[in-house]
Amino acid sequence: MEQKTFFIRAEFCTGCGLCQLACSMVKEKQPNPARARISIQRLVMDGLMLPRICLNCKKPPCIDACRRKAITKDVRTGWVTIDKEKCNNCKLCIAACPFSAIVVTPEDEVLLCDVCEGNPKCVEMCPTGAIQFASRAEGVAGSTDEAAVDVFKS
Amino acid sequence: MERVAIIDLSTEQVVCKDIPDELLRMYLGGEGLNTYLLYNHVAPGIDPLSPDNPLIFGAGLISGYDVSSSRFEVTSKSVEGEGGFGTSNCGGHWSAELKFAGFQHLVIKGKASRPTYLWIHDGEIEFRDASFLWGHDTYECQELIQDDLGDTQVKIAMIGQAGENLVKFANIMHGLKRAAGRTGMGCIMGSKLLKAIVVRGRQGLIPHDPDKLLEIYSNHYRQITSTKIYPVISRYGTLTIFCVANQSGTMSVRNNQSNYFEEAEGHLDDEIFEEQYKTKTLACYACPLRCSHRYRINSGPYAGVWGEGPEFYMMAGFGPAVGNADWELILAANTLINRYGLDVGSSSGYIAWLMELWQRGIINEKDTGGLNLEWGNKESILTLLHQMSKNEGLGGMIGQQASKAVNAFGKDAGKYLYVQRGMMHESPQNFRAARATALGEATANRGSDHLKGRCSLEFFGMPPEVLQKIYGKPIASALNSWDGKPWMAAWTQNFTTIIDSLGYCKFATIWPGSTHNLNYNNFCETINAVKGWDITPEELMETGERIWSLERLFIQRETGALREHDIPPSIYFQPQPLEPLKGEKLDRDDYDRALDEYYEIRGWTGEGAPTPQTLARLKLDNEPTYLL
Repeated sequence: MEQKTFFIRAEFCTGCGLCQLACSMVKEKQPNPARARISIQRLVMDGLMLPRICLNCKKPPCIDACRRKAITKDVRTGWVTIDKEKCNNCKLCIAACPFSAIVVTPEDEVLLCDVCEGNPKCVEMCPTGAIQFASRAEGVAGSTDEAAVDVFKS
Repeated sequence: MERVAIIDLSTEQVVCKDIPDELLRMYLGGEGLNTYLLYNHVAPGIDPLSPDNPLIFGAGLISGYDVSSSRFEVTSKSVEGEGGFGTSNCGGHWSAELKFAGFQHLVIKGKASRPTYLWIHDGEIEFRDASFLWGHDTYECQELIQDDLGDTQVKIAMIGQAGENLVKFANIMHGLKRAAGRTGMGCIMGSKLLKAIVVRGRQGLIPHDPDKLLEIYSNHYRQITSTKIYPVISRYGTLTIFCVANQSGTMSVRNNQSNYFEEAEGHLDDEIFEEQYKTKTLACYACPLRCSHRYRINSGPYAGVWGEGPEFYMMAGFGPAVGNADWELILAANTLINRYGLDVGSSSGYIAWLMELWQRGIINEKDTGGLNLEWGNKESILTLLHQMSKNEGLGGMIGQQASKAVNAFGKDAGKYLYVQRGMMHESPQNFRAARATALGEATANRGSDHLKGRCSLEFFGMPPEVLQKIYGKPIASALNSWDGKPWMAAWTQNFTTIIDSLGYCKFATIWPGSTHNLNYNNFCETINAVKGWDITPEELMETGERIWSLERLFIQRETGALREHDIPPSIYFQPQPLEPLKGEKLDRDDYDRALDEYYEIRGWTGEGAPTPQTLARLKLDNEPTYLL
């Protein structure tokens, strides 16, 4: 089947954090960017905003790093998810992830995006197309510029 | 539970208090609760620069919860102008971060014994030495603080050299361009030796009905991003106002001597900025409007200059108002202003005034210390900004004296200084043809205030049915008609006061002229989902009125100046020289009649003081009540 995953276009991220607010409201029932499954590193002086979310790697290093086999990749959808029953928040996955995509909360809890069953709210609430959810095979449609400039959703 | 921290810099003691629900509902947060705290914590008649004058920060009640809810208010007794009501609003990421750190309001009292910064993180407040920051501009300051705390994700509100040197129109800055400007809040922060307030919050906010809030949040996002104004504002920000304002004859050119700037054509516009200088688009917390821009100048005399902004006021204030049509000078001045922490409206206004005095021979090189103040002289404009911030030379004198500088240049100089309540009239504006806006700005509590009094819907010639629907009363469509305009002015002032108390950005509301944006009913939805109240638009309107009248009581108590200071600058009563809107002016008798009507709407006396009945109706008759 067609596998979909996230595509990040950091140059179009304005740092607004609507994605984090949306994620924390869906997952935690409260506005709380620190517990969102997507994070943004804001380099204010450089004007660089770096959104980070699980990209559902083809061969995820976090799975190899996890000693409790808490992280799995669904063969059919391609999505990488964490089983919080098995996870003991040891953070070896954090060290392994090349994209700094796994979140540690102030309470030292490990959180990983679960793609909201293929309908991620963060993407719906991104006003510039800096984060998109699209077919892995096709990427985001068109060139980078066309993909992200003036994405006005109705 | 919303909390206030009362912070004493002299003793380094902090007291935290929960805000009673009843008080929260009466004043919300941001500007509203700040005003309550100010009225209750300021002893009548104190010197604004004394340690006893509190500097009050307030995040909006909704800040952190909803789309475009990024704003906080800073309030104190004003140090610019007459020393009345001082307040200022600022966007960015600081406000929501303060909420996530566990506080909605900070009341900062006393004076530190050495330069200090506050480090507020997850419910903790620390006093830290800021000696190593003193003397640094706001850009350097942020990097140094990030290094000091080992955290790049902190949010910082700070002063530059202008605040340290007690410039009367110094701002409190946040990020590279966000500013709490007017009324000298940065000067008061400098007088307390407080360099910065650094915030990091990683706690959640607990809404009453999270599912409902998520639904409202999604709806508001769709509402804001489907308006006609959205594609424009998200591309150009407020710069898009420039060409419209110029071509409709509402620009101040050369200190209000003219109302249309021909030299701007083909040189100053939003598209040139986007094509030649813009490098990046940025946004405040949870805001899809993304109206902020990074820029860089790659060649020419200002090569290498970079920064963030500029807004319409910068473009108009350092453009037509001072007779300059060079974009790069505007950008260079913008970077300086943000680094030093100066106010755009006041600094450009005073420079424009000095240039008119030069033009008329009222001042010469002896007065200026050798500066040539011909219209548009770039070197002199930048020199004056350096001088203001460092308290040197002519600029330094202006910075220290503000409108009192008029005494230095003799009687004629005062004729060309357009101030109201001692505040520099916001230089790029020339709204004498727009009746509701002229009245709304002149009666605003901090004086000459477009952010409270600008009635944007007045400019679009809207059909009377539409105006009736929005304002609930008949309002004339014509710009220069007085019919219904006093009501429009009062309605707008109450509305903007509510926006600033909730923490929304005005550009996400109907205020800038997009009738489909957020309105009272949308505010009520969010408030009720967050707080579990049953608040209605009618209650919110009355809350706006309450806050507005309490501010008025403060002015009455501290300055005693009411009706006689509710008059626009003298230039508004002289005809405009150029088309469009040639010959337009305010008629003094008409204005006085409109002012009478405005006071009647507000329930104030003919002199402009709230009547005892009005105070009782608004539950203000027992203030100060000292509940916090």
